[in-house]
Amino acid sequence: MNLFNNEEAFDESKLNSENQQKLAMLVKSLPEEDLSMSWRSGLNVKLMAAQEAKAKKRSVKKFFAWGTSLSTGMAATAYFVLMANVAPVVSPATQGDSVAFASELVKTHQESVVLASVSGIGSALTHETSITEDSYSSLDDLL
Amino acid sequence: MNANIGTWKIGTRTMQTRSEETEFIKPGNADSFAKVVDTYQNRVFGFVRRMVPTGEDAEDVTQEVFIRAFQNFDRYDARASVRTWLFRIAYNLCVDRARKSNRGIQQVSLQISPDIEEEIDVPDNRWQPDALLEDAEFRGRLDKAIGAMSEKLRSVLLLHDKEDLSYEEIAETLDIPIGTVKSRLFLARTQLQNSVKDLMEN
Repeated sequence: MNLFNNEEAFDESKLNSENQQKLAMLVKSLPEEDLSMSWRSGLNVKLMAAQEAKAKKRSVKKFFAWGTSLSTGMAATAYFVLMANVAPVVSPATQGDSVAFASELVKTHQESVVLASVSGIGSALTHETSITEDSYSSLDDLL
Repeated sequence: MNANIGTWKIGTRTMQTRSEETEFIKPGNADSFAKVVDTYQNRVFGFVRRMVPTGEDAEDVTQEVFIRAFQNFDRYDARASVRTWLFRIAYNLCVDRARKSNRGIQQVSLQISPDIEEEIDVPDNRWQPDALLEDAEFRGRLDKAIGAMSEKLRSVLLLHDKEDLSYEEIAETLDIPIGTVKSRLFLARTQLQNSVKDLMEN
């Protein structure tokens, strides 16, 4: 009979047979040995060492936890302080737009100066007006 | 370390129910752990003593059991049986020690020989285990027979018949199915019977 195949379905009544119960009683009656006081003393010393090691481990863990929090906090503070004191950076793209805008202003100013010098200050013509007059002359030509 | 860890008190072997057991167990509390040691040191030692070759080894392993338990005491789940927890640590340490000493885990054949169903022919009026065990030769043979068993059979036999753990507790301790506990117990007793049969009949 191979019990590997029947382990789950083991017939418990076999364990309760008289024969098995006698052996169980025999094992139960085996003499017991008590541990000595020096054994307990040795255990106490080892337990104290274990507790100290535990406390040390805990304090190292605590130190690392605090250290990490502290350094993160310091890094964050340094970052904000630096960010507040640094002049705004102009990106090349923004810089390009500003230059174009400035040159457009200069160009417009120069054109208005040219127009003013041609037509006189009192009758300064706008660009649109001159175009319109050009249009009229063109119409005259057509008519 | 709490002062109570240093007090001298020899543990008692009285059986405790689960509720009595858990009453004094407060995980992480040194006082509570001292009580655990007082209560279980001799029972754990009794088990370990028959699981390792020498008494010196048994004392070392028993100390190791309580140190391991202390190191993990914060995480002890008070709903579980403390003795199941301690015996589990003890069993694992005994197995580790057997492996380290190159004994390995003995493989036991679970083939039952035809003669195992044989009854021990001892009249009931003479059946006095205590008296039998007074005989040094008988006791020596019995200890030898238990020591010769595989760890698998021996642990189940001792936990059930000597330490009064239930099948469920043994299954939990050794992490095996209940059916396996029963079949191993049957085989262990049978093996024991074969070893001492002649002495018992005389």
